[in-house]
Amino acid sequence: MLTALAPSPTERAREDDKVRLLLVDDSPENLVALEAMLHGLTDELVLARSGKDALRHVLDYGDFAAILLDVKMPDMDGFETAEMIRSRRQNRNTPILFLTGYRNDEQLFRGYDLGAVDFLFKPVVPEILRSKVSVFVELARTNQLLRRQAETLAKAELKFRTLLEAAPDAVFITEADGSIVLVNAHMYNLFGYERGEIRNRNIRILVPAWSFPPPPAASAFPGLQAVRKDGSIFPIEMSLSPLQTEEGLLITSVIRDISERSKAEESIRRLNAELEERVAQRTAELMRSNEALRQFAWAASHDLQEPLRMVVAYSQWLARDFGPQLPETARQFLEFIETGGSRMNSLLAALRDYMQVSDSGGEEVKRTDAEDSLSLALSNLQSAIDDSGATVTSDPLPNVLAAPVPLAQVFQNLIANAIRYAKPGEPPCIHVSAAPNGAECIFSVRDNGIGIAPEYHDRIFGLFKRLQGGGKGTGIGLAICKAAVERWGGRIWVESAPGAGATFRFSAAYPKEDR
Amino acid sequence: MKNPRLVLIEDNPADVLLVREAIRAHGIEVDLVAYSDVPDAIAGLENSENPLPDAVLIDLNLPKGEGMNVIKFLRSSARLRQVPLAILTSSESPRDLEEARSLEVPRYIHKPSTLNGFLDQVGGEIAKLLATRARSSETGCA
Repeated sequence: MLTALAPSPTERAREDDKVRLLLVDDSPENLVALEAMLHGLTDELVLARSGKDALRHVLDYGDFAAILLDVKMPDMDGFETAEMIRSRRQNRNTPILFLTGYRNDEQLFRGYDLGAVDFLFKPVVPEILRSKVSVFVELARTNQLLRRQAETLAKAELKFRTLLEAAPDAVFITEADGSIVLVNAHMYNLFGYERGEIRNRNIRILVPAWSFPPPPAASAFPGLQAVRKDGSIFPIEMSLSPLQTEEGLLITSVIRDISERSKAEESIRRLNAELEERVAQRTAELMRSNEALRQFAWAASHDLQEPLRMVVAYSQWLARDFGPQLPETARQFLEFIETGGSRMNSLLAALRDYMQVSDSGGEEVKRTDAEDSLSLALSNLQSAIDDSGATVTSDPLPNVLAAPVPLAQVFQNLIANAIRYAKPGEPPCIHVSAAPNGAECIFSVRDNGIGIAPEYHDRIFGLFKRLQGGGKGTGIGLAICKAAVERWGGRIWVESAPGAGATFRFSAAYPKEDR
Repeated sequence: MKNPRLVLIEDNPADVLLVREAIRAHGIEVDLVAYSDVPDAIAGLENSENPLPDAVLIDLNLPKGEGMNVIKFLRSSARLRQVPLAILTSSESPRDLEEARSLEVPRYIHKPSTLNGFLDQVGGEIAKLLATRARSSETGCA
């Protein structure tokens, strides 16, 4: 039972792979002489003083490159010992060289019968002994090498088998015409065939579209399907790789079941569609609520105007008819009421303008002559231009994709701003120009006014953003410009520094026919 | 000679007062009859015992029904069809404007938001409206 736990001697012998010689002679002197003669020829010399000793070593070491056996020994002679050694399966081919003192034909025949490969006659000539023994040592070494190579091959074969069987895909090795040579275990799971049912048949039974070489478009076949034994069809992915062997061209086809992936892709597609639908719903809801808010703002800006008109008209009436009877402070309060009401009135009017311009249902975007829009703006501004002594000049303006009235509104608001924010004591000088920038036109309205500090360049386009108090403007003009410009997909910005005037720029695309 | 009769259909008493002031400021001699909702106005105009109005001034934004319904009623009545009519409103709704046009109401008076504006414009429009009546009745006599 101990042998079961420790490696057995034979295993040890096989493992260490040493080439050994066994020398058997009952005379210690002879053994020493033999040892001296054979020194260095092999990895190890094992010595035995009797047949029994020899047998024990054979059991211990398993095999020897050769055994040198003295014929004449007490108890068990050389022939008996050889017979016993040879009776072991493992040692059936172990070369045995007999050492004998005399030539005796009968003995020779018996020796050769027992598997002797040679006889050496005493006194042994060292050179002869060495040369004869070295033949067997070489043979043993060659055998050992072959055995190692065979083991390596077996290991490689095992590795390949393991890999093939462990592959998550069905693997077929076929000839170039599709005849199946070898398959792996996964094939049975995938296709439902037994091993014997499929060998030597054609892979096209399983994958009708199989061909070698594969279609030129791709090394893998897209949208490929395979057929199970029960006739059911499933989606697969397949890749082919050719291998030139001694037996001809072999094709390795690796087939993967992509049903799960197809299902996953399908569910992703479905989820995406659902998501898109939800986004569309949300967008529709937002548009509805946006529209409701717009209508509310529109109604509010109108309905607020009614009571406000009462406030203004009646505070004015009160001042007109009863002003003289009122103390000075009361008259001033009335004036404040009226001023506040009037201001709110103009804010509401501007708010309505803003909503009209930003209303997507308003005037459509079309080919618009910017000259016409500028003329309209200038005629609306005539009295403001006259009153301020402003000079407005312009270059020729092109046709652009915009809306005529909102475009006029943009020019009007920008020019009105330029007049409103002129430097005190300096008449406003305003120039309107246009320059191409790729497929769009950049309009510029330049003035010589008080200018705007860079930190306000974005803020001024917001609703009710005014940089100065004092009742100048409503704070909606530039928001209207922005809403108008954005309706035709343009941008608006300002380039300015305090004291250095301002240049407002906005863009609009050229109509296709004018490019 | 009896004063011309002007029917004003207006729910806001403050506006009625402003209209009266505008008439006074323009020195127009007129008997003003004011109704403050649609059913009252229609009942009053329908009543043939009441004298035929010389002009009708109507606000579009009225309680208990649309001002437009009164206009439709006037247009459908043989007795009242020829009475000069003006819309007096603060509405800027394009829809109202469009509907007024479709009913061929030639005068659409926007209520100005300052006292002087109101007195000037509304008073002036009323004078013109009554003048229309005077001219048409003169041609009718000729």
